[in-house]
Amino acid sequence: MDLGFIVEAMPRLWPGLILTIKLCLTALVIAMAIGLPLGVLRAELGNGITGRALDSYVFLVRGTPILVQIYAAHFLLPMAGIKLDPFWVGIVALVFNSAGYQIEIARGAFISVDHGQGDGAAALGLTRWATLRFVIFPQAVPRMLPPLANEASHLVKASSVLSVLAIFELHKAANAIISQSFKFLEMLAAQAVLYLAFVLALTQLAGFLERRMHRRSGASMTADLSIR
Amino acid sequence: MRVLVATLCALLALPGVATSSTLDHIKSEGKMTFGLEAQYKPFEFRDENNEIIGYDIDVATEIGKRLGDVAPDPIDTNWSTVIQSLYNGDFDLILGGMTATAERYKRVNFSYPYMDASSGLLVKKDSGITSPADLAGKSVGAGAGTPQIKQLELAAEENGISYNGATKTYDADTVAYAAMNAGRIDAYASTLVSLLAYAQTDDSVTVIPFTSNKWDAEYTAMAFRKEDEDLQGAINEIIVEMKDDGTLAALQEKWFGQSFVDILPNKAPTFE
Amino acid sequence: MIDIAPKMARALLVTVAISVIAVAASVVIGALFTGVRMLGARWARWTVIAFVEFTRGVPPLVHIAIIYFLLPEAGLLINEFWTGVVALALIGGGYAVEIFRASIISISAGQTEAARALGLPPKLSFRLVLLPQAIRRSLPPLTNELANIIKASSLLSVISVNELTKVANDLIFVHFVVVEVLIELTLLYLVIVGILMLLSRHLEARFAL
Repeated sequence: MDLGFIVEAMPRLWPGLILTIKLCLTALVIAMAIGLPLGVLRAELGNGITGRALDSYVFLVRGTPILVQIYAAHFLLPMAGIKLDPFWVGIVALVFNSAGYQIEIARGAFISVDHGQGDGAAALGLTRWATLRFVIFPQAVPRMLPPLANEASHLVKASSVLSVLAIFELHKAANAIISQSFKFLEMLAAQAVLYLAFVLALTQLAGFLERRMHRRSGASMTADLSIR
Repeated sequence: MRVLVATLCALLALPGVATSSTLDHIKSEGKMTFGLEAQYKPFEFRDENNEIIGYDIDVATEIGKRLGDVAPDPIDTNWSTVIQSLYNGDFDLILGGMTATAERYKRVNFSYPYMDASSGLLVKKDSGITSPADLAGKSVGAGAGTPQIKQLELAAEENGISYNGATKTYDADTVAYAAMNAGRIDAYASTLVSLLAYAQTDDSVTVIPFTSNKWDAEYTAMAFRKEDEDLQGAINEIIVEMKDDGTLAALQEKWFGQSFVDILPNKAPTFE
Repeated sequence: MIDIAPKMARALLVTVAISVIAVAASVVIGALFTGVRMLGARWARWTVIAFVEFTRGVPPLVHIAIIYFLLPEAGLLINEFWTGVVALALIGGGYAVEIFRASIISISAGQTEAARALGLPPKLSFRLVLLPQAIRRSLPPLTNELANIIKASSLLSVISVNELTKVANDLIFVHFVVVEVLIELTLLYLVIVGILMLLSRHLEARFAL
C-alpha cells in the first residue's frame, strides 16, 4: 500500500466527492418532498386503489436492486422520449428509490403517534386538520429523523452505483485514477475513508438535530424507532 | 408479453431516430460527440486534471479537423451498454477502442480499421506460462462481453486442455490486473496493446502472444448506427487519408510505441 | 429473438444460493457480535463498534472489492462465489448487530426487573421474557436488511460472480434485449424478496404475544 499516492491523489478525488455530495443532497431533498407527504397520505388512506398503488410502488422499490433501477432509468427514459443528461438520470433513479423508503418512514412515524392520540384529540373536539397540525405532526416529525438519517446514508452508498452511468462521482473518479495509475488497493482505501467521513458527518448532523428537536418538543422517542 | 414488449420498443424507439443525417448535424453543430469508457489506457483514460486523453481522442481531433472545424467531444459512458446508448442518441458514433465483432455487426456498421486489435495474454513472469498450451488447469479471465472469452474457449479446444473452472469476466481491465496480483487469475486475455500499457507499469507481469488460426485477425474500428451510412463513408475517406499521409502512423507511434498501419486493411469488417 | 430464459434461470439459482447462505450467516454473525458488543471486554466491544461503523459507512461496491482483494492477501484464496458470500454476510452482520442491540435495549430495563420481581431466575427471564420480545421487535428491521443483502448480491458482478444482474448485463451486451431482460430481472428479484417478506411475516405471527 502506497500511502503517499493516496495523499497525492486526493485533489483528483475532490471533484468526485463534490458531485457525490451534490447528487445525494439534491436527490434527498426531492425525495423528501415526494416521499414524506405520500407517506402521510398513505397512513390517512384506507386500502383503496390509491393506497394499494402506493403499496405496490414501495414494494417495487424495496424488492429490486438499485443497480436494476439505475439501468431502468438509463434505458427506459430515452425510450419514453425523455432525454436527460446523466446527472439527472442519476437523480431520477435515486429519487425513485429513496422516495419509496421515505413513504414507509413517514407512514410508520405517523401511525405510531396517531394510534390512540388521534382518537383522544377527536374526543376533545379537534377537527382532523387541527389534530394533524397540532397533535400528530409535532410528535411524528422528530420520530422520522433517525430513520431519515439512516436513509440518507443508504442514499450516499447507493450513489456509488451511479458510476455505471459514467457519472463522474466519487467511485467513478477513483476508477479513473485506477485506470491511469493501476493503483487499485490505494484507491479502494481512499474511497472507503471519504464515504465513511461523509456518512458519519450526516449521521452526526441528524443526531444533533434530533437532540435539539427532542429538547424543544419534549416528544418521547420510543426505542424501537431509533433502530436504523 | 414478448410481442407486446417488442411492439412497445419499436414504438418508443421511433422518436429517437434523427430526421436529418447525423453527418449534417455534426457539421452544422461544429461538434462531434463520440462514446467511449475512459478506463482503457492508452486508448482513453483520464490525466491528472481528470481530462480524457488517449489515442482515440487524438484520432477524433484529427477527424474533426478534416471534417471542417469540428470539435471532438468524448462522452464517457458505460461500455457494456454503449451500443444501446448510441441508439438512444447519447452520441454520434462510438470511437472507443471497440473491436469489430460479428455480434456487434448485427447492430452497428464499422469503419475501416484504425488500429490492430490482436489479442494478448497477461501472465506473471514467474508463472512459467509461455504459450496458451501452458494454461492447462490454470484460472483464466477476460473482459466482459469481449471476443477474448470465445478465443479462450477455442484455444482450449485447439490445445486439448481445460482451464480451472469457467473463464472469469471483468467489467474493467484494471480490476482484472488487481485480481491477477491477488492470485485470483493466472492469465488474462485482452487486446495486446492495452496489456502492454499495463505491463510497462508492473515489473512482475509480462505479455505473451495469443494467436491461433481458429479466429480471424481482429481490428479496432469506429461504430455507427446502421442508418448513418453517409457518416461512415465520410470517416472512411478520412481514415484512408490519414493512413496515406502518415498521420495515423504518427499517432500510433505516440501512444503504442510502434505503427500498425501496414497491417490495417481499407475495408470495413462485415463478417460475411 | 433469442431465448433468455435458460441463462436467467441458471443465474437465478446462483443469486438464490448466495442470498440464502449470506442471509443465514449474517444473522449468526449479528447475534455473535451483539453478544460481544454488549458483554465483551472493552477492546472487543470497540472492535465490533468499528466494524459496524465501517459496514454502515462504506458502499457495498467498495466493500466487496476490498474483501475480494484482501482475502488472498490474508492467505484465504476462496472462489468468487464464496468470496461474495463472505462479503455479503459481513455487511449484513454489521447491520444485524445494531438491530439486535437496539431491540434488546428497548425491552430489557423494565421487563427484566418485572420478571425478576416475579421470581424468575436471570437465565429463565432472558429466555422466556426478553428473547421472544427482542426477536419479535427485530424482525421488521431485520427483514429490511436481509432484503438489502439479496439486492446487494447484484453488485457481485464486479468480482465475476455469474449472478442474475451480471448475466442480465451480459445478455444486454451481446443480444441487446434491454426491456425484456429488465422486466424479467425486476420480476425475479421481486419474487425472491417477496418470499423473504412472507417468511418474515410468518415468523412475526409465531412470535406474537
